Formats: sequence, C-alpha cells, structure tokens
Amino acid sequence: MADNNPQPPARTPSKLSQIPVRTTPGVPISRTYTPGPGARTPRGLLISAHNTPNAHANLTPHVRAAYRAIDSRRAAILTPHHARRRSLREARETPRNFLLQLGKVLAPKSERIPSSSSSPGSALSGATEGGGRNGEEEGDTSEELTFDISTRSRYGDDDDEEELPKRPRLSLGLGGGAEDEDWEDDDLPQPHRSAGLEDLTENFTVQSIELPRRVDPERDGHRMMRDSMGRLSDFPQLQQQSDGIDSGFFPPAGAIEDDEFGNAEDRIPDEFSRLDSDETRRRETIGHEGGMGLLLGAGGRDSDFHIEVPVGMDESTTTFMIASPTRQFEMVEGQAAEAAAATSGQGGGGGFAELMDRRSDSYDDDDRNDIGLTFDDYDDDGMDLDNNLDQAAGSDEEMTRLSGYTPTTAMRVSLSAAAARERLGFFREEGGEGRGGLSKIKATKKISKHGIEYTSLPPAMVKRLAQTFAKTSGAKGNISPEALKAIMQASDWFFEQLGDDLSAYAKHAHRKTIDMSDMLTLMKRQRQTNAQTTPFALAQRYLPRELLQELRMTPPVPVKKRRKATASSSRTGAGGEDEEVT
Amino acid sequence: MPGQKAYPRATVKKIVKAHANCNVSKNVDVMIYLDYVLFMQTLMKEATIEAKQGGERGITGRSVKKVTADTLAKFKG
Repeated sequence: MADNNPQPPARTPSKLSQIPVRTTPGVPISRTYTPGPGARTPRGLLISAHNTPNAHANLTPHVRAAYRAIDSRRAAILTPHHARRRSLREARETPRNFLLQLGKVLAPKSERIPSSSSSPGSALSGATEGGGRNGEEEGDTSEELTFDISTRSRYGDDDDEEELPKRPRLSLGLGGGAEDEDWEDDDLPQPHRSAGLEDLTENFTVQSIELPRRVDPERDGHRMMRDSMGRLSDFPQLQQQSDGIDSGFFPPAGAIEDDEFGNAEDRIPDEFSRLDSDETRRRETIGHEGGMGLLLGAGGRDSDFHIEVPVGMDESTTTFMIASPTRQFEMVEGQAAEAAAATSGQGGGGGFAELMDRRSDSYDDDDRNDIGLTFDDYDDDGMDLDNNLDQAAGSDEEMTRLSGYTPTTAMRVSLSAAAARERLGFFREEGGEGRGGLSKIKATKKISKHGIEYTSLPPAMVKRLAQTFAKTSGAKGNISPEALKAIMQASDWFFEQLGDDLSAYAKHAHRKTIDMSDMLTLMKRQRQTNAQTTPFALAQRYLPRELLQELRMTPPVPVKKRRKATASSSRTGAGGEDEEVT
Repeated sequence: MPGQKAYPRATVKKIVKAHANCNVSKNVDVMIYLDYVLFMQTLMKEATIEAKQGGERGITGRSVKKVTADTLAKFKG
C-alpha cells in the first residue's frame, strides 16, 4: 500500500504533463498530417462530416482519427491553458484560490500605495487586467510578484484574522462579553470550573495532609511539636520559632490550642492518636484481665515514660526538639500514645478524656502532676518484673517528681519507652492470636487448641506449591501477597481440620498415634482415593520427584503398608472405617 | 527444585501433632503432605475459577477466601 501510493501520483502528473505536450506539439504535427487526409477530403466535407455523426460513420478510421485530432486540438485551443491545467476542485473546495483572485482584484488598491515608492507601470498593468492574470503573473516582473506575494500574505493575514477573531472571542467571553459569555458559560463552567475547584481543593488537602501523613514519625513529631509549641506560644520568641517551623504544614498553633476539634487537620491526627491510644488501651486492658505481670509492668513503665515526656518537653523543649527531630518525636509520640493508653487503662473511659484535656491544655503542670501521681501508684503495682527498665523508670520517676530534667535522661527514657513499646506491640500481636501472652515473639508461631505450639508452613513453600497449581489450573500472573496470605490461612485451617480428623480416627481405634491407616481412611473419606486411584498413584502423580524418589527409596515399607492398608481397608479396615464413620 | 526440600517434613509433622494432640507414626507425614498437595490443587483450581468468574486478573486473596470454605468442607474427613 505504501509503495503503491507514491507511484500513481508520479504517473499521473507525468501523464497529465504528457497529454498537453502531445496535444500542443501535436498541433503542428496534425497540421502536417491533416493536409494528407485533407487533400483527399475537402475541409468543408470534414466539418460537415464532423457535424453529422452519420458522415463520421462513412469515414475511414484514418479520417476519424484525424477528426479526433482536430477535436482535441480545438479543445486544446478553446480551453484556456492555465484553466485546463488547474483542477477546479481545489478552487471550489478551498477558498484560497478565490481569495487569491480577490487579492489580485484588490491588489491595485494595495499596490497604489507602494507604487508611489516603487514601479507604477506594473501596478497599473496589474490593475487593468484583473481577470485572467495567472498567465501574466508568471510572465510579469519580479516586482509584481513581490507585490502579489505581499498582497497574498496580507490576505493570508486576513484569513488568519478571520480565524483570530474566534480566538479572542474565547478570551472576551471569559472576560465578560455578553453573548459569548452566556454561550461559553453554558459549555465550559459545569465541567471546567467545578472540576478545577475540586481538583484544587483535593490537591490542596492531599498536598497539605497526605504527604506528611505518610511519614508518620515526622508528622506526629510535628504534631507534638506543634502542641508543645502551642504550650510555648505563650512565650513570643518560641512562638515565632514555632510559626516558622509549622506554617508550612499546619495552621498556626493558637487555633489548635483554642479548640480541640476546630480544624480538620487537627482533627485527623487526633483521631489517629486516639486509635493508637485505643489499641494501647486494649493492650492495657488485656494485660489487666490476664493478670500478666509482664504486661502490667510494661504498661506501668510506659505510663512512667509518659509522664516524664511532657515535663521534659516543657522544660527543655527547644533543645529537645531541635536536636534530632524525627527520632525524638517518634519517641515522644509513642510515649504520648502509651500515656493515653495508661490513662485510659486506669481511668476507663475517663482516662481518654483526661488525655484529651491534657492535650488541649497542652501539658499544664497541674495535669501532668496529676497523671504522674496516678502513674506512680500504677507503677507500684506493676513494676516488679523488669529490673533494668524499672530502675530507669524509677529514676525517671524521681526525676519527674523533682522535675529536675536534663535532655539525656529524657532521651534515655524515650529509648526505654521505645523498647517497652516494641514489647507491647509484640504482646498485642500475640494477644490478637488469642491469649498467647507466654508465647514467644515470633509472629509465625501459633498455638493449637491443645496448647501445643507450632509453626505454620513456610510461606515460600506454600507459594511455590500454589503457583505451580495455579499455573496448571490456568491462572495468569503471580500470586499476590494478599492471596498468599489467604492461602496460608486456608492451609492452616486445613491442617487443623486434618489433625482433628486424624486424631478422631486414632482415638476411635484406641490408639495414641496417628497411623497410616488413619491417613488412608481420611483420604478415602475425602474421596481422594477410590478403587481406581490408589494412594500410590496419587503420590506418583502429585508428589515432586525428590519425594517420589524418597518413596521409591523406601518402597518396601510404605508401599506394602499402603497395599496392606488399602487391602485391609477392604477387609478389616473397612469395618473399622465404618465404625469410625458412625 | 533439586536443591530444595520438597517440604519440611518435621514442620508438617509438628503441625499435625499440635492439632491432633497425638503422635504421628513414621511415614504418615508423606501422605499428609500428599493430601495437602491435593488440597492445594483443589483450592487453587477453585480459586482460579472463582477469579475468572469474578473477572479478576490472576488469583487474588478474595477469590481464595471465597473458595476456602468449600474446599475445606470437601476435605473434611
């Protein structure tokens, strides 16, 4: 297609160029020819014969050819040369030719002005002969050509100017033209302005809130810093600093200070902190109910840290914060959350309100002291277990009481608080599993209903297995981590169910060990094996080669056992099976 | 594959032991693993069908979760 396209135009111009060339040089040639037939037939006869088609029929083909040549010559002569060459379609369809002609007609007007400076004669000739000037144009002087070009360019500008008014209409309509405004108001505003406004607002919120939200420690640190700055906003110097730091992300500290839920931005972090505090409070309550000394101790410690933190922030806020922002703020935030947890854990629902009050009051000394006292009591209850942390906490406690604070102690406290927080996090995870307070930190370890600890299958193996089966079943792509999680959950349940079934079979047979017969029974009851598919065939089909090799390495024992088992399941095992079933 | 273990035999045995509160005799864990493989096959097949019906790309957690209950019931002894 691409090769064909360029060729026809190359041919057609050549043909077109050839056709006039043939005719025009054919004129003298035909003159030389026509005398030949013209000698035989007089021209009057030719014309008369030409007029009447019957005469044509009588003529010899040679004469017809001569007539054709004459006709073509006449047509060539009568039709103007340039007009014949031109394709009228262009002139009809596009206004350019018309405009060019108009330009030529109007050219004298424009030419007269430059003619004063340049040649008038050519301009006059151009003015007098306005109609068929295409041929003359070609033969005219370069000056006129330049004039024509200039006029064309001017009228070309007119074309542009016709287009241009439309463009200004847009701007004018937007600016305040009466009709255009209505016209465009119907079209544009509903999609445009509303969308733009929404985008603007959303972008603003996203930019202002989400970006800091992703970096949790920094954001929380900022929040805490903001609170603290709000506390310090009483002092003009520090307020200036806080404004300089905070103005980028948050509204001024005073507004937040005044109303707890005034600003949306303020509300969100508060809710987040509330969630955190709820989680920690849950931990706390779990610890209380379970009576776990460790949990209590951790909570008490946290509360200690908690009290200390605000004091430290109050007294040495500027140094404390500027020193190492993110880390310290993270710690501080965590401590705050834990403090919330501690307060809520002690005072029930009121603790949280207390926290909120404290936050809104921005660590007033009275509140802090109150909380400190309550936490002191709390610590006496729970502070028996961890020696090092307790010592640190105790020292810090004393420090709080004395309110003699140094940044180093604050740092130490915050670090210890972080450690305790981590432990709390682990405990929470374990607690989520179900009263696994004594279980180890590893999240993969689980406890069965019989109280026996076990680890679920390695996810890599499960994923590999699932992926092979997913491919064989025609699924595309890899298994997403979410899907893997679900598969792991399903396999855990599967093993739980399988263990229950196997133990039921074994216990029914008054055995304390799960035997191969139990497993075979189970598979039969699962309808995985039947008369056609033996377990060994299944093993051959599904187990990997290494396992098959292992099975083949130990063929005598298991295979015989299996055969016996399958055979016995038909004779003896069948009876047992029925008994087990019922 | 060649370097890898086919499956952690001890882990499987421990899991079953923990759930059944019984001892597991010698080569049962192989059969247990076979059963698990069959379960996984069924699960993935069902999940693939579910995912295709739901118009999802590949197997998602939702499809697996939807299918898990039925497959477990299928493998209830």
